[in-house]
Amino acid sequence: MINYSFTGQVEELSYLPPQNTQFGSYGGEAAGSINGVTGNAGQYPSTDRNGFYLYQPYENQSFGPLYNGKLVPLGGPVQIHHKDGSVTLDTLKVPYSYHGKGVRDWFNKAYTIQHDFSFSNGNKDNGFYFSVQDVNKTGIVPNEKYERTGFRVNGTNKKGIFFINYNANYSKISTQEVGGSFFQGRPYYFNAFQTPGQVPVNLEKNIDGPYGDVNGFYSSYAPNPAWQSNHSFNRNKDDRFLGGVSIGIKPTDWLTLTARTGITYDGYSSKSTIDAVKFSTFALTDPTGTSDMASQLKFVPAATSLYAGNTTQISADFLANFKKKFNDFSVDLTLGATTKDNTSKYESLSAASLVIPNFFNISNVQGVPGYSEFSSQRRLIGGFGDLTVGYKNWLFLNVTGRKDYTSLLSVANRSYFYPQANLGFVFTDALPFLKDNKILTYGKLSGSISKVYQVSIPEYSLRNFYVLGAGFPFGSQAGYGQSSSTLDPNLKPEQTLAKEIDIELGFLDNRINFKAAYYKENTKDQTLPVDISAATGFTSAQINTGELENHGYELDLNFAPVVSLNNGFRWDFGANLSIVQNKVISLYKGLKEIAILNTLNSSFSGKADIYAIVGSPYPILKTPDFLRDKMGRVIVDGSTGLPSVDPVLKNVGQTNPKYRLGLNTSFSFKGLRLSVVADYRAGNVILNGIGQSLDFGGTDAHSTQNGRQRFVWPNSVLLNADGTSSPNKNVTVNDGGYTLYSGFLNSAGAAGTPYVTSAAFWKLRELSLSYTIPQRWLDQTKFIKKASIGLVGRNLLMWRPKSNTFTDPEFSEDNSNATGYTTVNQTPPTRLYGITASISF
Amino acid sequence: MIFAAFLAASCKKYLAVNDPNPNNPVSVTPDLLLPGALNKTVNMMTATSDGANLSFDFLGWWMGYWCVSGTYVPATIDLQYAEPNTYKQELWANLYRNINDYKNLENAGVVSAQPFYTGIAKIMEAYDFQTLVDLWGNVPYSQALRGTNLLLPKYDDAQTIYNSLLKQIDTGIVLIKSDMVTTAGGNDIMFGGDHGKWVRFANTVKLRILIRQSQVPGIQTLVTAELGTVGSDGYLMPKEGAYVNPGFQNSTGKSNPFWEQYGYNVSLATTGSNQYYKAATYGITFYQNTKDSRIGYFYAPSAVKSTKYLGGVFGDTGVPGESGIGGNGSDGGATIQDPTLPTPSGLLQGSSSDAVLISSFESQFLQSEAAYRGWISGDPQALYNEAITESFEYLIIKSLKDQKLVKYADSSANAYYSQPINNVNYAISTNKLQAIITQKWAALNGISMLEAYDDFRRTGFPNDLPQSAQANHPFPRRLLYPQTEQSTNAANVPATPAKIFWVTQ
Repeated sequence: MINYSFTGQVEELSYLPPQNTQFGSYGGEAAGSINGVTGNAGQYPSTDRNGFYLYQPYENQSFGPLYNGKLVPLGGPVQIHHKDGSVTLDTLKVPYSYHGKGVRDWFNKAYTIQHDFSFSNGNKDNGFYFSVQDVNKTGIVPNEKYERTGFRVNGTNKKGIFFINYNANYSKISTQEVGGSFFQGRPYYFNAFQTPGQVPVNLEKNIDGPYGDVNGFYSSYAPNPAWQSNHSFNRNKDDRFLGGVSIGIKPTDWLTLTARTGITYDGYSSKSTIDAVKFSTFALTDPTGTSDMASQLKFVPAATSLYAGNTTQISADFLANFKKKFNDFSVDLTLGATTKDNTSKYESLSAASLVIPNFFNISNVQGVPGYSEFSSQRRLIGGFGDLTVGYKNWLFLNVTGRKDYTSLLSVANRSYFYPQANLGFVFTDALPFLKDNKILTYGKLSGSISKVYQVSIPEYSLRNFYVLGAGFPFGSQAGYGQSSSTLDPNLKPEQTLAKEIDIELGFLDNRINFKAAYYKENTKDQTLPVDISAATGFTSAQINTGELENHGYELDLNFAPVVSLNNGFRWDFGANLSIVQNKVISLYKGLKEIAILNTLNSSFSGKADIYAIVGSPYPILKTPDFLRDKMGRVIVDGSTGLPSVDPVLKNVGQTNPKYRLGLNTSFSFKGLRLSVVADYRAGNVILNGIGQSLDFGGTDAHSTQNGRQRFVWPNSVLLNADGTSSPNKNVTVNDGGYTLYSGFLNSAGAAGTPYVTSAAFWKLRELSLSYTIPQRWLDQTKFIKKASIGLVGRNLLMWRPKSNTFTDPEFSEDNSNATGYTTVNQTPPTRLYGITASISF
Repeated sequence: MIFAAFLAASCKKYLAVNDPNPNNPVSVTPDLLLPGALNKTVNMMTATSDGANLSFDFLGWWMGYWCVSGTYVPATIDLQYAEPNTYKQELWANLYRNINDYKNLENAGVVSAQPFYTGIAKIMEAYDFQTLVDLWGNVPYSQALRGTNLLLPKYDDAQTIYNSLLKQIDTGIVLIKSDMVTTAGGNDIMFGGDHGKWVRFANTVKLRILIRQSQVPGIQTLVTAELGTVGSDGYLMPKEGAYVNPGFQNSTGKSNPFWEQYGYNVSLATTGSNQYYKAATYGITFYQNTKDSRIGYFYAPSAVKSTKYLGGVFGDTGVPGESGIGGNGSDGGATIQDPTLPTPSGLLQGSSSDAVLISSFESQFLQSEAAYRGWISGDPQALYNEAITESFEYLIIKSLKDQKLVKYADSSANAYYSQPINNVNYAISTNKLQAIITQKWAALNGISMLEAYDDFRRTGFPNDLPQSAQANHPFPRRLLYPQTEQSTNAANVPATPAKIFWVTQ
């Protein structure tokens, strides 16, 4: 059989934080910034006599007056080179009003074209399968692309008592990503996001034009995003190979012996290049008098870096399987042994400055290139047994046991045994009075208990090591220092004891299915890198952190179908709900709480950390709040009207959703099928670092919530001399614009709570429509066996609580322990439309 | 049975792939730990503790040396003295990490039976701990540096720590003297393995710890006891500073740290900090009023043509074009232009110049004050004049051994301190202590601003330092305990940061 399918997809931005549409503000966060300060030039006064921010043609900190539609200058004077060789100066003038498109024009629609071809032949004993896939994607960021070509071969052959299975899978992936900019190295999304509402993006996007090039771009301190999408790239290549062979012998119908070996190889390499920037003589004179980028940088050398590495896993297994029935009993026993060997290596070179501009070879480095080498290896040996005994098709007992030896831990801790038992009871078959019941068709009760060990640490996590000191070697002078993290030679494997009971019920010939499960898991010796007091000599430690208890419910209800009519119409519906509750039982050495080492601080001006706290769910987000009185009201200063930050971090809630609800439904009629998937998540919070960054530039609606006017801090109090507090009725904040949003809420050590919101959402996750061409039409063609066509849309709609104006909470910066955090360093969420056509010959 | 034993043995061999670590060494000899630790200390004290966050830039503002360029608007918290508890927490962390490096050196010296290294380690630990105490007061000491064996170290009394540091230095000196065999040579990137210099450095640190407590009642007994042990060993002498140079060169991350942060990058373009930190009006006025030719080495000429030196006032909206940090001395008449460098001068002497831990002139000023107080023998005025001369020499000829320039520097210094100006000429100065501290302040500009801040908190000199025009908090006498401590050692961090015991002003 030959199968071909075509997929075409379009992806576009789905959600951008609401734009400031009222006030002129000029883009570029932390423009010209050192320590978060911004430029300010003498020639343009930044405030009027009343202290209100005036329009600034060249950068952000305006928090300017209301839009009025009048023509205003944008940026400073730029040189226009005419065809006759003459040069004139011009300053771009734009209407001082919101153009209505936000920052969307910085992004493209992304397209995916995918071809799949496959060929299969034979039967289950002697078969062959071959497929080719080719994917070409463009990105929402201009000039980003992704290409993948893959081949796959599977086969199986059987001769007498011998059999062989083999598979090989190769894919070649290349991607081109837009890198950081020439000034401050920030990502595209970040730079695009700072664009105020009156900037004509399509004009500024032209980096060869007088208003878009490095000499004429309107902002003194924020580089043109279009520069990086044309001049700064990371190009990655990836070769992946997966292969395996298993050979076996089946001398009798109850015994199978199999030997299996497999390899997974991933070889990757990457090269980053960033072009040199040369400014015009005119631009170097700082025409706006603002110490702009050109006058600060003068010249930016080209740079390049490269790395290459690979990871390889080789595994070998031996399995013996016995399968036999004894009267009412069926026995299925597997005994096996396994070994795994993982190796990886990585080397990198970098040249921060190249001698010949844009000649991107590492040998062209100015001075000494940066270099690094890393390699690692880990091994595992395991032996296991798996026994399933069935009685009369209604009682099943499954018992497994496994013993592993890992190279990662010390000799004393490296081996561990973990058993598991599961008992299933199909009571509709066992109990005579329930047999052939029309209403309750199927009923099964099962319970399991298991212990699982896991070692989730990197190699070489047992012995403290030394690192080359910063700057070393200086010529022949070496120098070493202690690593910042301390390790534990006695690390133990993580162990999880899990208990679960399930019930499965089928009603009306299994037209209605219901499943419910309750589980409880206790994980001990979870191994995590944690923050520790620097006074210990180290700032982090990798330790067996503590014990965590997880328990939860999973409920699943399916109607298949809800309605089914004789004319072929059918409606199916399903819903599932999961509720997870977890709690930290105890922590390392009796500690009450531990800060988990993470990246939350990467671009948030305040402090925010993920914690494990005894007696609380995990992970907990803690961030500073404002100082409050006993009734929880914010205490403000009697003169500035501003609150002050409480140095003690506040527990603002858990970052993993407690509730997940999924709904899916489909309607089909003849060959036509419409299906919808929606889901809901709730019970967690998110820290929107992105909101803080946008407030800095004043480009978002959040920063206009008080009309940029002085206002009384909501629900605030003033502290009386005797320590009591009384409601604040008339002390307003000294500035409801720049000083508040760009200054106070963005200063170092700022409170995180203004940007913490519920992370709940409802999403219309997928809507798809497919049509299978009726067989009788195909029969006429003689050669087409099957054909179908489909349309799909993903991430179509989203509803969030009103407080979250920032972004899609699923676009968290990091999906490890640092969930619950968004920044402008991510790409924005997207929605996708696609078409698929599939045909078989 | 045999098969099982064979299997076990081969399993063990199969699994033995995780030792040693192929990426990082797990043990390092003391000769390689010493340069790593010293370079980190000097980076921290002159520029940054982690390659990114500046250590003492704020003291440039607070001590009247620097302002913020009028091209920038600084963070309000700086202008208001409203530094939050995240302020300089990297410095706290890296001081402890650096002490941990010295602890390793201390132990490695014991293992290799080279007490020279152990002695150096003890002295450098004391140096770092003093910095911690001077900025934060009570800090973890007796329970510190034990890794996961003691995760929540308690905070010790600052004065108790100080006393313990003096004992530790004494032990360090004994250890150094007990091992004349070990010469670290080039690996001692501060003193080239010179035992005598290390002992004099140790005594200077000791003197510094004692001088810091000059206003503490009843300190005399301790001073007598501690300085009695110095004997003929003495302190860092003229032309002998604690200067570190592992082989700085014009390469990113390998240049003199002050140069790399506050000066120029490898392509000799000015750094962001060079554009941000500019001369303060207070500093310019002081040098101009005292006809001090060092002005041209501390500050560069202004971009504004009409004024030779233009300063800014910390807290005021500045005017672009203020004088930068570091000049080529053109105002002093001795223009030393190395054509490959933009402005080799007092503060920015080039990418390969030495970095300063304790300058020769700081040592002379300390001794001058000690002599003035009668703590040591010697003529305070001679030491004072020597200190000023050393400062002139450092700024003018530090990297160029030219006898003509030495003469020039010496005569410039002589002309300077001979002027009949109060707090310049020791003999005519009405308050000798004020003269010493004022001149010490004038010499430490950009070089050891923490020492100037400590002197100010101790003596109140210079007594006319301007405060930020936008201050709405009192001028800070200490830093807040780091937020990292709030999040990792909350049980022990003092709730209210107390006054540091030796601070009187």
